[in-house]
Amino acid sequence: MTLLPDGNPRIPEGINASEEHPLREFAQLVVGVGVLLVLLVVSLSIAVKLLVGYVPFSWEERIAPTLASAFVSEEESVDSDALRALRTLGEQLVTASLDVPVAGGAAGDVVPATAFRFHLIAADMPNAFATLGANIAVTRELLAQVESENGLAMVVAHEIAHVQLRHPIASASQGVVIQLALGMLLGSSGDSLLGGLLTTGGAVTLLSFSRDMEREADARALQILAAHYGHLGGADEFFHSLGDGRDERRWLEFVQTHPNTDKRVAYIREAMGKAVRQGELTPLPEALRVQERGGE
Amino acid sequence: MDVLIQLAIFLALLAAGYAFGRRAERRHYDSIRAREDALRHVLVLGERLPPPGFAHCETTLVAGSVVISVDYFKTVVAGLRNLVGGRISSYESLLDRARREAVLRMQERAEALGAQAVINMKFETSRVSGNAGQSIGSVEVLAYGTALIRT
Repeated sequence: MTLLPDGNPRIPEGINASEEHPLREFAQLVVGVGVLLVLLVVSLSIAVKLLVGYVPFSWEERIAPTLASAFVSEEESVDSDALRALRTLGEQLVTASLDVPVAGGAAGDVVPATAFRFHLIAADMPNAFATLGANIAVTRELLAQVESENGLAMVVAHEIAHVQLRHPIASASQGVVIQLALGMLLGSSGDSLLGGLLTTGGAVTLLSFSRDMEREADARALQILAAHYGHLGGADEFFHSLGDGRDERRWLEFVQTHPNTDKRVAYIREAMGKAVRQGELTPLPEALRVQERGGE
Repeated sequence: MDVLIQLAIFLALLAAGYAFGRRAERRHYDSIRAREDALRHVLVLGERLPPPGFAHCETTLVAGSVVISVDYFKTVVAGLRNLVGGRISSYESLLDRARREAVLRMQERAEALGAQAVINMKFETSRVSGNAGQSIGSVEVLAYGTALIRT
């Protein structure tokens, strides 16, 4: 006969639930997972950078149309004379750029000269950008900020250089690859808010160029300018008005999309100083002369 | 900007989850320990047959059930833990509380009926929220057994 105890035993604590402080575990996990994610993102970015040169331009063109249609609707409100003049200038610069080789070989082989599309958009902010499919857009407000054709040519050449150096596809692929990787990893972790947060963080990198990219594009733009005009006069013109900082809010967008402006101006001026030949500035074509919008 | 707002919401939920979850857990454990001491005399046995001394007594089914929900902080910790693997200790304490609370409720019921022991005690568990998209779910823990009441 077994004797029953008087009562249930007191079971020691800490067997089924650990007594470790929850914040300690949280901190360990955040640091550990954070380091892993950073390593993953860095290695993916490097992989994209190495591989993007092997992506043929025709692939890029195939995914671009959805983007280009966004400009076309904005374009309609802008007068066509200015757009035509901008396209003429752009095509001249593209032709000049064919003489400046890029790392992948002749510039014309990397991105065909006929692929470039120039757009003039009626935005209030002075800005210019290049996106997938060799689409280059200049805002109307930017035209008001330059005095000579050379100044505008520097901006357009800079965007042409981005396209020829394959920066838009590199940046877009980086954004997409990182977003996909984080989505796959964190989507499975079952927490939608945390996953959403980190994947939008990945999307921020979409189509913004790095400092290195801007520097490369500047160097190439100067070469294109030299090939076209034979001198570098007026290359820093656009940055004159930027440096004045008359109305900082208006420049915010440009500065955000083009990092490190001060160093870039210094670089451009240094190159201009080294240039052997100095030349006359070409006046801006009549159609591109835009008055600054007053009374705003 | 959107990212910042999302980050702020995330951190606020995390802090709220931690503060409330931690407070609730501490209070709950205090209450569990006090009630376990108070109900120690209601024996809980896993055996299927009544022990000697309970040969002729009334038997009745007693059950205690509890539904617990996970807080946001625990979900995030578990989500991170999912990536690397290991012991999800944030859920362990939650389920430990649930099991003990269920047994306590069963014992309270048995005591109210005048029982001296509960035999053949078993646990059941079921997920309440199912796969309803959001991972913040709740789980039911049910403890049941046969109460022995000496007549």
